[in-house]
Order: sequence, then C-alpha cells, then structure tokens
Amino acid sequence: MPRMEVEKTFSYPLELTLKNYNDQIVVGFGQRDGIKVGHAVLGINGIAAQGRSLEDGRDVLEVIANEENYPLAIKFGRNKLSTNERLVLTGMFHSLFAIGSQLSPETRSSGIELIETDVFKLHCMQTLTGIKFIVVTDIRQVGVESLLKKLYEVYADYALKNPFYSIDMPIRCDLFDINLQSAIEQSERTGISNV
Amino acid sequence: TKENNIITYYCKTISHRFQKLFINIQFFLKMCILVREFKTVPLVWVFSKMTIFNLYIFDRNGTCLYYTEWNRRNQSGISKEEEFKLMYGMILSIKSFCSRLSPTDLKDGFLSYRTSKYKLHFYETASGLKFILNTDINAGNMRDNIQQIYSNIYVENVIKNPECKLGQQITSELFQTKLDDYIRSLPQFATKLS
Repeated sequence: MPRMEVEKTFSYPLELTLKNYNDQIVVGFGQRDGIKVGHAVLGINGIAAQGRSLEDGRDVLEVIANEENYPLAIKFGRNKLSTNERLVLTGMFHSLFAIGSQLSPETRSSGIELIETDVFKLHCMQTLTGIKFIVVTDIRQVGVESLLKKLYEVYADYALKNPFYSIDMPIRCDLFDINLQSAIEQSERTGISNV
Repeated sequence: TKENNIITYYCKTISHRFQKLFINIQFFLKMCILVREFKTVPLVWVFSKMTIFNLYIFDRNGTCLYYTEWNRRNQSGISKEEEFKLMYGMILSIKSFCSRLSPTDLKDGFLSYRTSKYKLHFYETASGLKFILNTDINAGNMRDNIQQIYSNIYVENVIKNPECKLGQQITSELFQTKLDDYIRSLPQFATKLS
C-alpha cells in the first residue's frame, strides 16, 4: 500500500495549526492541499522527523516557530503504525470483540465478525480454539470468508506443524509467510475478477 | 378465491413433471395467505426475518439522552446506567480503533459492525450526537433511516421544544410516540414468526 505523503513549501507564518499528540507532531486545524487533520510531520527540508525531533536533533516545533528558517519544505502524511501500536490495537480489538458479544440484544451472539467504515472493512474469524484471524480489506473486496478459512488452513499446516514453533508466540516460519502471501495474492485476483 | 383459481389453472396447464413442485408452491402460498389473514401481517414480512432491537442516543459528553427497545431478547445482565457507559465506551474505542487502523484518511469513519446475531449501526452528527441502532443482520444500510430520525424527529421534537433541556434525558412524550411510530413503520421492523 503506497503511503500518502504531501510535501509543500511554506512561508512564515504557517497557515496550519500543529499540535503534539502521542509524541507526534500532527495537524490540529487547517486542512489544505491534501494535508488533512491528523497527518503527522514526516520531515522538514528533506530531513526525516522521528517523533517530535528531527534526525539532526532539532525540535520540530522550534524549527517551525523560528522565522529565520523559512521558507520551509514540510512533508506531511499519515504516520505508519509501529509494532507497539499494532499490539495495542490488537489488544483493543480483543476487548471490543468481547464487549460486542456482551451488549448483544439477541441471545448467544458471537463477537464482532465485521466492522464497516467508509474506506475499509475488517473481517474477523474466531476459531473454536479461540484464535482470531483478522483481515482488513477494501470495502469492495469479496470472498473474504474463504480467504479467512484458507489462512486458518495455512496456519494449521505451516505454523502448527513446524517443530520450532511454540504455541502462543509470534509466528516466524518462512513457509507460513510464503503460503500466506500466495493465499492473499490469489484472493486479490479472484476478488478483482468477481467485481 | 381468485388467487386459488389462478394457481390451480397454472398447475393444470403445465406438464405433469412440474406439477408436484407447483402443488408445493400452491400449498406455501395458501399458508402465506392464511397467516396474512389471521395475523394481519403483510406478505413480504412473512419471508423476511428482519427486526429492530433497540436504539441509543448519546450526546457528545456521553450521557444517554434516550434509550428504547422493541424486540430485545437478551439483557446484558448489568444495570442500564452501566450498560450505557459500556456502550458509549465501546463506541469511542471503536472510533479511535478505526481511525488508527485505517490505511487511508477516513471521511465518515466507523459505520457499523456485525456479529453472528445482530448488526449495530452508528451515526454521529457534526455536533457529536451519537445514534446507535441495533438490528438483525439482514437489515441493510440503515444510515438514511437514522438520518431521518435525527432530522425529522429529534430536531423537530427535541431541539425545537423549549421544554427539553439539552444534555438531559429526553422525557417528551411527543418525541417518544413519533419515534416509535417511525420505527414501527419501517420495513426492517418485523417480528420473527418463530
């Protein structure tokens, strides 16, 4: 998936309101030219930003506040999820799944199976042993149920049968990765031909 | 009756091979007509298995302005106050979850989720008012219906009513009856025959 990035040269004073959010400098107000609220500062004048500071050690907000530095070429984009954030999100989904089944108005409901938004869909399949397979797709993607079943098959064949894999630990098996990739490629092809 | 005559006529004219099938269909249609006469349920509803369970309205501070239920079969086992808090917390978490997980920028954000037994539809206005409607999984997109509830029922009967204080539970009977009538008039609202 290509990362959406916008680079623009600004003069003093900056038309955007920036704020510090979760150790990232993000746009708080003033959407313009493809720069959206929530986009983070990824770099200034070609120097990549890491969190609140640039790679050369200067603070992003201080550089932007200083009039002498202008004009400035600032690159904005959605920040990529770090491994830690991914773990947080997975934990979050785990509890949402449980609450979704608790708040059910109908008896014996499962947890969340599908979340719909305007740009993506999240499909979740829970196996009898409690393992959840979660796939995030485009809203028009079809045949995700069969993909999830296929993933379960791949997991059973290449992760569980691997003698070096210990259960409930991150999966680091090459064969699993290869087969996962081919299952997803196949699903993408059929998904497009079916649309 | 006329309907029966038409059905029997077709059964006679079509070849013997299909006759058995058509007798089955005839029987089924007769049953449908019977159900329709006794229960005064439109024929379409006999086939559909749709229903609307309940509706929550939250304001932007998380207070539950209104809650009502129609065909709820399972209570959550906690007090209503706690249930509202749990529901509001879950919706906030899902919203944040979706905006962080999304590969591209979201416009409307979270719309609905589905489990094996029900579907939760979510609609948020720009002022932070949140509508949560639970229906059967067969109900399609309810976004327009919720928008109708907001613009035609909530705004007309709560916002334009000086007796209704903002940020407090809605006690207006007019609002309650209007909402109830509207939900009951929807094609998605039909109790299961089972």
